[in-house]
Amino acid sequence: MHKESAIREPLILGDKTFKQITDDVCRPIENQAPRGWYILITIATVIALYGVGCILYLIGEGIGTWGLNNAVDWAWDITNFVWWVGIGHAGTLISAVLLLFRQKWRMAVNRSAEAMTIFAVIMAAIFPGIHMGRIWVSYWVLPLPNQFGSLWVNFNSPLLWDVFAISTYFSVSLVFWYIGLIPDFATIRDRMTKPLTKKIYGLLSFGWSGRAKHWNRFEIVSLVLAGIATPLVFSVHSIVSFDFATSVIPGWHTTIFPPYFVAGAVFSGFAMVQTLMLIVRKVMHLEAYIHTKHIEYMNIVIMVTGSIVGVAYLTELFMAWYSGVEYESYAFLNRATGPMAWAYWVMMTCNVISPQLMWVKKWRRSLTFTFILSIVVNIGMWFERFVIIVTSLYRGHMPASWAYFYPTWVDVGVFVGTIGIFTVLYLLYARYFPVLAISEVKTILKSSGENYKDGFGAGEGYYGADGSHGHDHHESHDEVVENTKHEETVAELSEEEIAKNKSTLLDRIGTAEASEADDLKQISGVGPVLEKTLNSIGIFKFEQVSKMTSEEYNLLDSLTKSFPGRAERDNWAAQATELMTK
Amino acid sequence: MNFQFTSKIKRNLFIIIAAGLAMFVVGFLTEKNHLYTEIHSVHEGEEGLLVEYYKELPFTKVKFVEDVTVAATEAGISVDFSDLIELHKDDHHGSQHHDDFEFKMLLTPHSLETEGEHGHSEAHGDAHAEDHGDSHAEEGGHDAHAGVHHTPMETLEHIVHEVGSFNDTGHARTWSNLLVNAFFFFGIGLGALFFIALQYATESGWGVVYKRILEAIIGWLPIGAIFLIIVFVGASMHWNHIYHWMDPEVHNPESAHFDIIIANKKPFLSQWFFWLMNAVYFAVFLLFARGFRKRSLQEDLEGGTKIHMKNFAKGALFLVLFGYLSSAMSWQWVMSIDTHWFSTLYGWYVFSGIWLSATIFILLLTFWLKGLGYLDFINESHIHDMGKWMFAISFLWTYLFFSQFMLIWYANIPEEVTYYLDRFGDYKWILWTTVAVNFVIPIILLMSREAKRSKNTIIIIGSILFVFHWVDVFILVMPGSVFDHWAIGFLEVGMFVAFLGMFIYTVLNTLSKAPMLVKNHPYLDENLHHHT
Amino acid sequence: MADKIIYAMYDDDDKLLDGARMLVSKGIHVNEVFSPMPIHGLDDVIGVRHTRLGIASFLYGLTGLMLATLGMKYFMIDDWMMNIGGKPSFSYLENLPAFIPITFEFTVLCAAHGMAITYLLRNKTLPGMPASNPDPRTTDDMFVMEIRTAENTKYSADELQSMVKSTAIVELDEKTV
Repeated sequence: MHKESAIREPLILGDKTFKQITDDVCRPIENQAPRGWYILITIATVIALYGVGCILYLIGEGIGTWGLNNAVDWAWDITNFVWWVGIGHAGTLISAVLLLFRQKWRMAVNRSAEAMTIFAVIMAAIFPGIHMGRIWVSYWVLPLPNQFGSLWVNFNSPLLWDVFAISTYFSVSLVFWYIGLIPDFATIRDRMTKPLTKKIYGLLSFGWSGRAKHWNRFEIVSLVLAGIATPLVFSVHSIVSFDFATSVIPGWHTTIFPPYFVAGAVFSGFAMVQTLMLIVRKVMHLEAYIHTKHIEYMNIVIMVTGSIVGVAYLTELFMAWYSGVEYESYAFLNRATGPMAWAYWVMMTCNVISPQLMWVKKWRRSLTFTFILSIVVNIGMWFERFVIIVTSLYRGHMPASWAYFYPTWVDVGVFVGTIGIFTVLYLLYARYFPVLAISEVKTILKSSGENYKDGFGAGEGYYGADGSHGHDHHESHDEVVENTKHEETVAELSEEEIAKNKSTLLDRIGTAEASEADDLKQISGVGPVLEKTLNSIGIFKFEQVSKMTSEEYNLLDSLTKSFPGRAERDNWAAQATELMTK
Repeated sequence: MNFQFTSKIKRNLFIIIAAGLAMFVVGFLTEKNHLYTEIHSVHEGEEGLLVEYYKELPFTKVKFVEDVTVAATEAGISVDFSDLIELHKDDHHGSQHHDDFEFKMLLTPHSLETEGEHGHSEAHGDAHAEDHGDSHAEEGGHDAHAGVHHTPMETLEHIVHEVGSFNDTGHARTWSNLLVNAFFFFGIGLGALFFIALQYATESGWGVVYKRILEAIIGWLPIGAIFLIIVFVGASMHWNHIYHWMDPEVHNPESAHFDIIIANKKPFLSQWFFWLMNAVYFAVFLLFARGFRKRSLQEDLEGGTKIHMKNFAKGALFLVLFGYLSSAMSWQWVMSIDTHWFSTLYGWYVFSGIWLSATIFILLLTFWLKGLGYLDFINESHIHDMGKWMFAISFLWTYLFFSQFMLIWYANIPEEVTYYLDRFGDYKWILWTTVAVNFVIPIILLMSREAKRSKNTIIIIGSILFVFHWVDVFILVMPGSVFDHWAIGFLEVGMFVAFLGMFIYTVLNTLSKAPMLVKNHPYLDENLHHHT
Repeated sequence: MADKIIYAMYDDDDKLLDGARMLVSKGIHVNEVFSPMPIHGLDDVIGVRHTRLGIASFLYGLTGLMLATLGMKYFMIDDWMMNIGGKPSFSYLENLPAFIPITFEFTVLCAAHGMAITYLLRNKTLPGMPASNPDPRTTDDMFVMEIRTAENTKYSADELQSMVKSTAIVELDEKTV
């Protein structure tokens, strides 16, 4: 049902057709990449290579090259891990949770957000890998028979839960993303002209043909995957939070961690989506599909999750005092006033105060403001993890082992390197993949497209006489009835009248012979069958068609019967005039 | 069309309320309680019965010891009494918490007939050797015919239970149940208020057809507030002792009952702050409830988008306030019953229960009204939507329960784990039944699309969940206020039924005052044509 | 009789849907529809049976649940007990809370992947499969309805054609198999 309240803002701006949606999304893939893309990927590659170098150095030398010390035995490694996993959450949330909530605006961003999820989880997975020290025995984390390693892995350990959670999350996200991509790859395959690219996209599209039964399965699979992915999103970051909360370290062990980590993950993920989408829409010219309303919706999500995170911070602070446990109270007091208070206040400012600015409607609809804020939130969320991890560790129960934490160049290099790798992957994706879910956007065109929402006449030509089809049937029932009546009168014409109309038409537009026929199929809206019909009337040449006006169109309709109003709508005359000059 | 609150429905509701009250009165009059007992292992192979005795109870220590001794002699055992408070009198550090007790004793039973416990049991074990095999002689005594107490320990337990029964003069059970019901039903009203604000703030179209039902449920809030206030006034006046921290003695450093942990929380756990916050909670909830209702009726008459936009803004504002107040409310009203204990997740956990109970009630009421032919505009897709919420919030509730429980279980630190130890001790089966029911039933049975649309499935599952989320509130409150003296008898069931009757009466009364379907809502048309 | 396939092309999903309704009401069996996007309400009209992939997913999930439970029972309780954090692994139930996260993850893993693989196999959409849509535009902006004469023997091919033409088609094509 294409029924949507008029006061809802359109999600697709301008007078778009199905064709244009395909064209708009495929353009970046089919054309030469803009220069900006080459510049960006060069920079990103350099950073990525530096990061790879740092990782290799780390593996060669050991994790002593990090800034870890006796007190702080977990720092940037796990901070970066949690940060990247958190960022990943927005993709699944947009595609799964918002699908269940039937939020149509997700369709403009879900593909890119899911890609972001996958790349972010890959970045996250790097960290536990490299921080094992002996990365070549990383298969020991798998439940392999115990003569293979030393023992069975410990299924009671949150770190092992993480292995399961992250790998499940990664592979399910990948499958979800790819199943959505298959129909869009098919679209690209069918447009490609170069044999090699056609072959590649043909392989990627798995032979998708858009059959009704396949679409039926596609929708159920998407829905069920969304249903499965929703608790999965919650579970993954909850399990990440268990890494800390199952311990007895003051500042780590608190029951609110699971939902609060999830809210924080969504918060940071949406911020990253905003950062990326604001660039993508500009570079890829997708302003019509991702516009202010989408940005505003995402800003509202940021505002809400930011507020939840804020409530959680305050709850933690309150409980640290209320608990009456002095270690707990000290952990929080020290965070806010100790030597690392600067990190705490960066976190507080970026995560609690800055999203509250989104209450101002003007600001949350401003693209520049959104872009800046999204980066602020990303910084804030990195610091949140840093604060939780490092400031809970650097002053433990024993003052003798207190130590400040200083990162080394390897810490920084590995972190910055992952940003580089991530950017490279994302740029490659934006260049060769459909960044918008083409088929899904098409399904909302009629309910949320601007021209359709404005009703009849706002868009040119596309739906004209039977535009009623584009709208709800209740609304335009009368017109449908009228159309049917019209068709009935057409059908009732006697043979004499047909002959009469035929000769009148040919008198007006001139006669022609079959031998001198033009290829009428070149006129948009004329197919092989219609061409035959036209020929049978005696229309062979563009010249004849070019002379048609509304009266002739009506005559033609009475003869062809099948497509009332079509010729006029597609403006055959103008098309024919143009074709004649070619 | 308005809902016709016919005299027949009213009469039936009065019957329900009367029946509930009657059951409650029966329960109230026969309300018995007994001493707090617990089996402790004294040393290797020997067990003792720990008996705690509160000051308010109608015993003296001497009389208790006398009665037990007499009864024990009759039953053929002897009992050693050791007074734990006497033992720890000088141990100032450890005994603070236990100073509420007149006595706290360890009773160690011995058999008089034979040399020791073992011989006694063996005699009986032989009698049942055919049934149980020879290796389980002792256990054979245990699980033999019901009502016959074989081991001295069981005999002692039975005696203490009999002797230690008393009339609950403080009416702790009644007061605590009043809190359970007042909070549960107030929570449903609050859940509906949250839900309506959520729909305004998110510009949701799907729930427009439910709006009047939500508003009717919100109509309970003022009355629910009165019941809560009765409980709180009772607590403040020391008519009940639900809130341990309200006892001024625990804040008094001179007193033997001084509790340093509670005293340190004084700014939060004090009468004036409690009542200040109560004023804030009730003011905010009731004012917003009134505002939403007023604008909803106004929209019916005026139309336009002005009211809609105002609701949007007020809805968002309410959510912000609710975000803070709902947590603080659950800390003050419920969590502070277990005064020493704390959990950061608590507020969100309580909130998920509130929201779920409201959702379930909405669905049940919808089906009932549909059966009467009122809600023809609510189609299967609308039911499906609400069914999805019921499913999703059940998941959320379980998730939050698990998160809180698992973390406390896993870390196993004393200041936290006491909460669950209390609940495992005396509430074990009811706790696990509640968790299992509230998780397994919705997850398995509501998973399919058909189930979320099916009237019978939703009514059956919904009713079960509704009752068990009441039990969930019961387990939140009782272990901290009546300890092991809980029961679900005439008193509890009667009060629940009476509350349910009053609640439904108020809801239907509110419902009858406005048309069942809103007019002029901008999303109404979109929503009426909603099919999935 | 040779089986002819009639391909009727529409430029709008609602036109195709109206057309299909009309044809089906006359007892014509629409064999297949090729479209660039799902068309809501089409399945009931042309009689596409509801997929059971959801149930399959549930069964895969149950399998995962069972495997995870049995696996952890064996690894942690039967094969090699460990006392971790003061919680000895004497029984599965005592350690249940610690096993729940992995049980959940593994259930989800099996449910999702099992269903996805079944979906691809059932669709026969696999790497290297050839595309079978009759016109490349059906993945862009055109909607094609496929009617086979062999399945609609009560009408002649011409009758079928003229009925199809009376719907809002933009092109008509025929193919003899």
